[in-house]
Amino acid sequence: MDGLNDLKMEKLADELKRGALHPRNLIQQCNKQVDRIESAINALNRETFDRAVARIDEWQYDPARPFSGIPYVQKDNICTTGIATDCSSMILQGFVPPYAATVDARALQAGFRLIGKSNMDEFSMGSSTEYSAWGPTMNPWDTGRVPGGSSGGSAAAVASGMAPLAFGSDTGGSVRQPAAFCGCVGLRPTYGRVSRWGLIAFASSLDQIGPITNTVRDAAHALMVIEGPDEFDSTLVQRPKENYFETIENGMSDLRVGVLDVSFADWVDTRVKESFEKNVAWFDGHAKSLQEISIKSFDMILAAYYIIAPAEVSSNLARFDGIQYGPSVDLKEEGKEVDENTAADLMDFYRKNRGQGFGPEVTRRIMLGTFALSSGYYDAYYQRAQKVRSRLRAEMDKLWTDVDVIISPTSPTPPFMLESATVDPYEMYQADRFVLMQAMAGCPAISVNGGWTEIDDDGVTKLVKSKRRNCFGKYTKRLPIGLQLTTAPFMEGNLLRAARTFEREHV
Amino acid sequence: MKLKESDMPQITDDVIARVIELARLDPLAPGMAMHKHHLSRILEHFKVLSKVTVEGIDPTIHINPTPISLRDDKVLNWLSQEEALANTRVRTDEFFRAPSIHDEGD
Repeated sequence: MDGLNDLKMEKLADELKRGALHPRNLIQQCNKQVDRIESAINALNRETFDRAVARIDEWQYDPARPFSGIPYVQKDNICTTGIATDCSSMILQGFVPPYAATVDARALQAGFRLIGKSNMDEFSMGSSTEYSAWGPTMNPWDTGRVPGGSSGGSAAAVASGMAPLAFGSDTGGSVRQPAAFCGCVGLRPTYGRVSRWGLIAFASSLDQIGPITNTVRDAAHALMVIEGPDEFDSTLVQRPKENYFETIENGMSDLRVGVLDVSFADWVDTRVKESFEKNVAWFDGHAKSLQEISIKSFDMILAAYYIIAPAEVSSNLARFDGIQYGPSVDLKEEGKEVDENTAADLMDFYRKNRGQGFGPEVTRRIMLGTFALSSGYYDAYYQRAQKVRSRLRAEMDKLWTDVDVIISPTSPTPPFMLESATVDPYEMYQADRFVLMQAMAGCPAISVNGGWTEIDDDGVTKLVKSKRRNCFGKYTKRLPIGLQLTTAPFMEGNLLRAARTFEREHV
Repeated sequence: MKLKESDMPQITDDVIARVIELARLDPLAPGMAMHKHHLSRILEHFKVLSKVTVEGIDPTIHINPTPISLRDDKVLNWLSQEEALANTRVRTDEFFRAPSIHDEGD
């Protein structure tokens, strides 16, 4: 391991197979990297290296489980048996799940070794990992900047060489945007491809679990581990696993590419536009055809998403009241006065536990969602937002008859400075503008690195040709810019093939 | 049908107070005044929804057209009582403990 982005699952699996590497040494290397940089990055809510090396001396290479022994990081909203899972929230502090999420169980069955739970925006609500009760995660490429969110801890862990694989959850871009900000690959599978069992719900009609890795091939391997039928998620489309490696290296000369026109958008950073134009030019030479597309509902998506998702939040988070799990205020004792740490009655108990347990963004979204669902406002906001969602889905279904892949930037800006977007929540929401339509329409999408931009003390300055391979200790002032590819639902084969073709010539 | 922006409901202090009550949040919690301000500003932006034509469009119920699949209705070995109670801070013997829902005079 000699630098950022050097931990690749396939490469490590090959070394394990050849006997050139033992999982014990690999996990020790990851542990050293965590010890070296975690205090500056804050990617992990807790480390589980002790568990990762349990019975490691008995490990033997097993061709049926080629990734056995490889470390991974799990987002802290995905349940892990016997390991605290708190969604970076005070209200779940100390919660230890008695069962594992399907995704985690499958990773463990495949032999992966869990080394930690990653930091995140509280209950996945945020785009910078600053809304964590345990403090923000920093971007490994520039610790004055955010890693994106909400799966910022997962992306930072992979980008900084803590592990070759981390899982995140993507409700409205929470895997893809942090992957873009950290120079990684982030995959959001089709809604219904990966079981949500054991994922602590944010917005159930939008949530999907996806991998963050350093290569597209690793993302494909990880998807093949976690996908497939699961009787515990009734919204899962019961399909057998696919083998993406039958086609992943076949190029994309048969794929029609649609380009989302961003030239008009004054909210897109010029360096992002410049990077995207270069990416478009590359696709022009490699795809079957290239055509500009526009999505009529595009300007409505942000508003519709930020009505629908908070509405589901207000319902899903209603159960957090301090009774079954998490800290709580004391019950009033007879003859004693009520204060801020004591509840007078049941309603007071709910109010105080939820008031003290939820952070600002979660509180805001609960309020927003409660408002949208309340009598008198339901039709104008929630119902209307769900109709906009139907309109978007129909529009995109029609689009898939003309193109096979849509490309767009992942984020309107490069990674932004810490604390620069938390003053005005609406500013933060705008960071999600390219990653919401996939979530709303149930489409799979992937973010890969689309370029690098150099920064100076005044901020972003100019595009540079490639990253300098470096570890965190040899800091270089370059920031990644993400490129996003999207396909029709359940067309991950095409998605991974196109992304791999691009990656092969760019990374 | 398109709505006029002026047709979109206005956010008043009474509305905010009702939302806080419905959501079981603490009106005295720090930052609540800031949330009111942000909520008003966010909803002002979301009036853009009034401009979209949605006549004849059904709201999304489920994003995938495939039917929801249910597992067999059978008894499984699930959490023990101790496991279910393991994460609570306040318990009485084998029960969760919570404030009474009855007034003292009941």
